[in-house]
Amino acid sequence: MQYIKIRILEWRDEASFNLLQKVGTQARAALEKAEAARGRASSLTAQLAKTDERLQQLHDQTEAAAARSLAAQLTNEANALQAIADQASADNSKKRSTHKMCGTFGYQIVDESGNVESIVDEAGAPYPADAIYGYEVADANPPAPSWAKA
Amino acid sequence: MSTSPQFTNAPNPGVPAVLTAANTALDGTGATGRALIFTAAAAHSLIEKVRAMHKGTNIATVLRVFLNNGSDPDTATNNTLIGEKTIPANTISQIAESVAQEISLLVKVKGGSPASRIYVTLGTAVAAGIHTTPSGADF
Repeated sequence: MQYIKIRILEWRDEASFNLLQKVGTQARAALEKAEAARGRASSLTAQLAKTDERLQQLHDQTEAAAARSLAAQLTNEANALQAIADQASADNSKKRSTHKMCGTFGYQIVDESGNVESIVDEAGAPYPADAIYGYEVADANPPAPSWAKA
Repeated sequence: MSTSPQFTNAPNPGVPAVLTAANTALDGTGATGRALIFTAAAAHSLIEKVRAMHKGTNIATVLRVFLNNGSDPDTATNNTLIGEKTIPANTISQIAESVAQEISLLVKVKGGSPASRIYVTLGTAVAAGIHTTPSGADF
């Protein structure tokens, strides 16, 4: 039996996972709105370029000015939505890496064939089955923990 | 609908990465232990496979491959798990090879903006690292 000491870097349990999913869904909705607004702004700008010459010849800039204004408004809207999405994403990452489990140590218990039998906390208790976490090797060859079977 | 066949015309070697940390998520979220190895070109790309090599003595793990739609990979709905491969334990040797593992994908990856991407993660943390190398091409 081999013990590999690990350090938890990210942690999600069921409660935090639900919260993160909610934040993620909000971020996705904001991103989709931002992409739609950008698409509309881009389409309006292209349309404007095509009709601009004709409108100038007619000395009628009212329609062009209105389209330009709408395109600018849509671009601003897209940028604002993008900022909301970015913030939600940043909050999401921050919550995941500031859970109380982050920074704690545990062990990968490895059998003779090199397969991980279980992953436990520093006291030897298995992590909750519904937890999702990210971790790194803190010590590949530590002394066996006190609770380890001889 | 296209009436003529399309062929890739330029290799896309992606960005090989070495993974050591673990990420137990099956939805591709979580920055820990996740590496971006492939991004589609503007006119779309094809990823054929991902090759995994031990970089020394490692315990067994599983390599997971995720297709991301080009938006934030920390949002679960932006990712799809498209491949997994068991990576057996390895002990470094100067007289015997470590066994390479390959995940065959043959997945078309959408280009444009945002371009779709391929990420990889490991299920358990390993000491020496797993070198992952994508193999693909652009249309």
